[in-house]
Amino acid sequence: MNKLFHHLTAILGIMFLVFLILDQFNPMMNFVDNNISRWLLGALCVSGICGSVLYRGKGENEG
Amino acid sequence: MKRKYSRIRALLLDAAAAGAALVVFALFHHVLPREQQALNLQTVNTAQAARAAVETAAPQVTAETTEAPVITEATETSETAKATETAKAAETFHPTDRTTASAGKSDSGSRGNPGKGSRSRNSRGGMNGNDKGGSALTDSGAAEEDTAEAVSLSEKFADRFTDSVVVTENSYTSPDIAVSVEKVEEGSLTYYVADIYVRDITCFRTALAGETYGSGFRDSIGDMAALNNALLAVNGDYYGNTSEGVVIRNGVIYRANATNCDVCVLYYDGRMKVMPGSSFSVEEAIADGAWQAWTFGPALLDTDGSVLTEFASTNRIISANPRTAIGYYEPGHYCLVVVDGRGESSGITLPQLSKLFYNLGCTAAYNLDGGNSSVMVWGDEVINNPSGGGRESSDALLIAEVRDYE
Repeated sequence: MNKLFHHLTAILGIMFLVFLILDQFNPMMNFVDNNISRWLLGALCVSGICGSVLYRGKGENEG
Repeated sequence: MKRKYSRIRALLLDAAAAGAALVVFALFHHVLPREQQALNLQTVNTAQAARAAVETAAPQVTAETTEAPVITEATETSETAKATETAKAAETFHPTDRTTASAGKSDSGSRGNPGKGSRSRNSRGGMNGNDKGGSALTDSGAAEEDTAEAVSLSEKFADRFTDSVVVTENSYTSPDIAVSVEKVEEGSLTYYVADIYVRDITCFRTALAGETYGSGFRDSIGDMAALNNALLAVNGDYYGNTSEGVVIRNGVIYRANATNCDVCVLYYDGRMKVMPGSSFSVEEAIADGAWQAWTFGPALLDTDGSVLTEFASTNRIISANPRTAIGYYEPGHYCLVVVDGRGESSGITLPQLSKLFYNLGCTAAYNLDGGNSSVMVWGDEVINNPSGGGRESSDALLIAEVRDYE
């Protein structure tokens, strides 16, 4: 499960980097602030939080 | 070592998955044609509404007033109020009676006075005019709001229109339209200026790709021009790229959620106003009779028609690029400018474009979609040199006859 969130975070992070770069070239395309991007941003946040929690939990268990 | 390769492989797989996800995103964002939910509110020609109010008060004029304004249920109240307010000004511009409110404000400075036919070709000084400096945009192009006198456009632009259709290589005149197109070369810069007089605002039309409002619909400007028998066509604001912003086309409101981008509104009475998105009100647009509205920007001239030197945008956007923009002189008189770039022509920065419109004598100007989108079609051919061969767009601005002339 932890691995899944790591991959998801990496994938969504790469996507948002691309959005931000494209947004610099053409802000009118609204890559960053459209409905789909908002959902993806939410997914990135959830994925990041879950990955962190699982990582912390795993670390405490090992510790 | 094996673990290291495993991590790199996992990262590459993530990158590949991200790429695939981006492709899917792009398909849903702007590639796949998707009809969008539109407001489909009909705006009202306020002159018609005013005439209707006059008719109500004075039934003896009903012979001329059979044309009832189209009023939507959502706007009926405000429209009726507006009609009553403007009843005294019923002489203002009307597509059918062909009269307009003439601006009382005279042009100032060293610029030509384009509305009276005194502007010479030399007044198109391009980038050589004085820079007055800019200030924050509030609301421009509204100088003509105070109607001083009602003057028939036929009289006002009498020397522009002709009784029959007269076509030359770079001009077209008829009883309703006078258009001339000029190619200007200044050093490494090439641009095209279409000077437009219309006696009937409905000659200034817009076309939607696939004749459908939505995202992912794209047509070449040439195809949209041909489909609508346009004399002249340029690309519009590419509304289909985003699901936000004001979209009013030929009197129909498709979208009214203004963003922080400036909005350009062309009214039935021939006025054109450029305003910040925060100042746009759909109720006002309906009540004032909005005929077209575009969301792209920014505004290129200040409230008083002076040059803007600062724009709230990124350097990439402000820097030299191919451009398409619309300029406004007075009701019934406009210009469309397409600037070539990224090739033999260098393109133009936003401050330079502002100065260009100032030198043309415009009182308001608005930047439309540019880059590879910038295309001007005259007759049935693309006359500029679009960057990358041009690209299809979701909408176009057209000048087309509304009556048939043999």
